[in-house]
Amino acid sequence: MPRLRDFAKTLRSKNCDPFNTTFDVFFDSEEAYRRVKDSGRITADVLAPRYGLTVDQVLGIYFLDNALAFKVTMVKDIASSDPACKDVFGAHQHLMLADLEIPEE
Amino acid sequence: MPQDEFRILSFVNHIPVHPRIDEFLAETARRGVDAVCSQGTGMDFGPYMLGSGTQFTSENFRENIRPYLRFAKQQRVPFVFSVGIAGGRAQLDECLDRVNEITSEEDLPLRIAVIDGEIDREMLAERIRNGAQAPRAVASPHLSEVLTTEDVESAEHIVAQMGPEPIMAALGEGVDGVITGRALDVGIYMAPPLYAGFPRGSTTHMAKVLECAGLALHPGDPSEPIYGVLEREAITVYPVSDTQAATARSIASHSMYERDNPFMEKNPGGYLDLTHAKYTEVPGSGVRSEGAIWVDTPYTIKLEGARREGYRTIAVFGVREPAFIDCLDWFLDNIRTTIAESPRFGHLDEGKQYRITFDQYGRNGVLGPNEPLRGRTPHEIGLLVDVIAETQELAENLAYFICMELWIKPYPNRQTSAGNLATRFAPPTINVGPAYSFNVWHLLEIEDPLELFPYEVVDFPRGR
Repeated sequence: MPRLRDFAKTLRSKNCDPFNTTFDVFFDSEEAYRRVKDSGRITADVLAPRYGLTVDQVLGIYFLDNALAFKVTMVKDIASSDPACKDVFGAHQHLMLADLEIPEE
Repeated sequence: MPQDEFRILSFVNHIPVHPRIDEFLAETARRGVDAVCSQGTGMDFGPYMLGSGTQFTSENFRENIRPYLRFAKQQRVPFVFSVGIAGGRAQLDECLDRVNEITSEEDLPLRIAVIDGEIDREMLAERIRNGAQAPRAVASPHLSEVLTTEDVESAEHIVAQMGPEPIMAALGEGVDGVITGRALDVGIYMAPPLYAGFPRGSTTHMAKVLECAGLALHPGDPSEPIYGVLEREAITVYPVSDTQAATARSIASHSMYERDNPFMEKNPGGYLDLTHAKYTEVPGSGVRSEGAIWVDTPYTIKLEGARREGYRTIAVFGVREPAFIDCLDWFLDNIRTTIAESPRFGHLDEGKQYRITFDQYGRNGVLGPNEPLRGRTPHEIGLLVDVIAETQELAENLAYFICMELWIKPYPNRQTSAGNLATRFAPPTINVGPAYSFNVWHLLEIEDPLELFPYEVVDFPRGR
């Protein structure tokens, strides 16, 4: 089954503060963007378990139709404030999102 | 007649100087410029530098700002720099020493207004005792809901993100430039145009796009400068380098970079509403945008503080033997048990007096339990032993104990009886020093944006 990474042009994660990660996903075509948006897969229910979070720890999901992009903000499972944090900038948290399966239409 | 355009050259000052800098500055001089602005503070790098009063090499900072300082003076335009990563007093002082070296070596006398970003802890504790309520900026269980005097007293250092107003006040002194400690990134870029009378909405939007320099361009590279032209109700941004372009995509996407909400850029005294911002590509590889709206809110500043959690010792090993990889999880669990039951360490409270983390790079080392490919057996593992304890001596002794267990203790089906794994360093233990957490990440409402951030005018080189 195709995955989100097969549709996205840019797929990035970064801390928006030491306790939360924000994910920005950009698409090159309206078709790819619609395919992902309309798949119904970009929801807190789908994403939270993949990040070891509860649904309410997915803090926001925003679709930007004009920019062919969406943004998700979630709690970091280990805050970069924690001395045992394995990803201080949050730059490698996109992988669970990238691997998300997008079912055939 | 009011100025109808304000042109800013932006760079990031903790990144190494670009090899083509002279070319970039000549191009900027050709276009004309009204201010040179650069951010150099941020908490992206975690709490260590704030807690310890350290920064990245300030020699790099010196060599990066050197051509820009010369340029600003030649062009007779002000510069505004925030400096020192965490931007506490110690880091600011070290950077000012570097500025002093430049002005002395280059025979470049500069009158600079200096604004400290560190907050006096006693003053802050006194405000809290007098009833000040500073709620946490993020609803994290790691933070007190409302800042307490205990939080303030246990923090090694507390800084605050000053807004543009203290910088504007300093610009009013007719100085060559302003250097601050910790500051709101966008405030560095907002201050000169606001001081020149430009409106807050378009000014803040341009500041947001310029704050990471060439990262907002395509291809993104923050070591390249960026150039912005502000009009009263519109912004246009351009690359300086011919290897980059502003695209509608790159500028729109940078407008939401590092923000939890793509339509709202929160600042002291208000937020920028980007819901109706439009981006259009224009000749010269530029992008023009209109439609950002400023909305007033109470004036709050963000406080950031770091508390020492202990001291760290690490060790690094490589594991390649399949029989050892097969039982490594079991083996590492056994080490924890052995320590907890040992006569030397058994009386200590794990989690309070010490904390041991084993990261297996090659097996879920980056993503931990969220790893989509967990369950696969790698042929090789990089093992990081990370011990944090209440003293450096305890951390080192625990780490050494762990190293000995890893080297010599038997495991099932062992054929390699001369040593269990490959050791990267001898001695194996590396004392890293203190480890910190952010314990202050709170919003303090203030009546006057200037009240915590007085400036001091200093003539460089000092003592002439």
